[in-house]
Amino acid sequence: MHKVSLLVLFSLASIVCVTGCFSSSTELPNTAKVNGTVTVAGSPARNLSITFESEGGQAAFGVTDDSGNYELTAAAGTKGAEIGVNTVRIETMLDAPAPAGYKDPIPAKYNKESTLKVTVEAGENTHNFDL
Amino acid sequence: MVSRLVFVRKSNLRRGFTLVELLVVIAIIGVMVGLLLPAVQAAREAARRMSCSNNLKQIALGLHNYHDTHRVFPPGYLDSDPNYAAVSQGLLQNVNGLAWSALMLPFIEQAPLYDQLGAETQQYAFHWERVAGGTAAVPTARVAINTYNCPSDTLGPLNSKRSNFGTNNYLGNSGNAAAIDRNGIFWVNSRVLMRDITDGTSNTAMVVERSGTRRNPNVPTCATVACDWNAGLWIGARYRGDSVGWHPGVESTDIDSYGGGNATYLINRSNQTWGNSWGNSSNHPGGLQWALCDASVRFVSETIDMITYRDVRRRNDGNVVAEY
Repeated sequence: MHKVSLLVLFSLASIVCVTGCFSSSTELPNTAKVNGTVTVAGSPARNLSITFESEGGQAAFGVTDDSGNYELTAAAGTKGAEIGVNTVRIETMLDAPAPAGYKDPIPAKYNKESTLKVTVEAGENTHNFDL
Repeated sequence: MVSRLVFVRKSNLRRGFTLVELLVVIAIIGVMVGLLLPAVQAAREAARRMSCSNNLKQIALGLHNYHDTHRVFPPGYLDSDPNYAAVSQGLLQNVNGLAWSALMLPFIEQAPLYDQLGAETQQYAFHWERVAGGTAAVPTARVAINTYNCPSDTLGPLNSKRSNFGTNNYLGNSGNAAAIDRNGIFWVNSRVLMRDITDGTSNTAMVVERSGTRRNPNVPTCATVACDWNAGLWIGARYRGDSVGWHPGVESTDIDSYGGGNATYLINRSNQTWGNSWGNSSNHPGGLQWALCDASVRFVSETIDMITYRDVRRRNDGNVVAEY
């Protein structure tokens, strides 16, 4: 009987260990879902790249669809952006690198020299931008 | 007394196992199999990743040997007309576009191939894609070199996205953001010495992986442009009859890659449609491998923060590199 209880103990221990092996998730921790709408002068803007850069150096992107809606994706395919203060950069999506002298129709204060900051909180976030 | 002992032993020997014992054994076997089955594919990928890191190690050691011999790291690529002035471009003289990965061939035991390349380009008088001023590429350009191939990348040793020239999955680190940045190790006609890497050789990336098949997950449509990565070429930068954007006469993105500090060049993803042909990626789950300037090879997670990524790719920024 002593042997049997040892075996039971061992099997239980291995089951616990194995659960530890498989419970690792590919989702990034400390992220929250972010979506919203981007409008330029009141009308929805399509094909804009929205980037949230967190203070910890993580980036999350989204692209606006025809009605100006976007949803952010962080690394590893996780939906959302890192919780905390994020710098927002909004720029036009290009098919090729910008040639010399190219000027984005979106002003530099929203992308290259962005001062636009938002706070991402736990749960669902909606951030609408009107440029 | 003696007969009783014998009887006890016999009865012990004949004793089978109970149902509980049987179930426990089955449970243990089940757990072991469950542990093993999903791990088989991971084991194969781990083996491929190991083989890939060995390639990076060979390349990095080859570059060190190149540095020992020539007292300088090879140039990113050769171009007698790096600013694309039409005059010499028309003549095609010396605009040979050969990459660091072609110039270091003798140091990864490919000296015959290197000699053949020299003969075919008439001692490097012509661009490798313009034999004797024509429009044909040198035959050597289509030679597959296993050392330049990551086994995890399903693209294969000939790059079907680049006219079937030999694939190179290991791109030179050209620093950050743009071709003009020039704070990496390789760019046009670069002459970086070991002493120029003031951040320390173990804090600066030298050669970084790029997949030929991975898809940029942040691009919604692929209608007009390719939105997956397309690896590189070991022989050099392809000829371009014009100068568009950051391509002064040749396609520098065939041999160099650009890095962090900008969400366009992150590992495995980009916030721009075109970013995939400039940045780095790999088919290994979760990140990529790079060789640092001290010839060590490291795995880098795709969630590395942008500031650290940028600091490692710069050779002379003076910033303390955070743990990654």
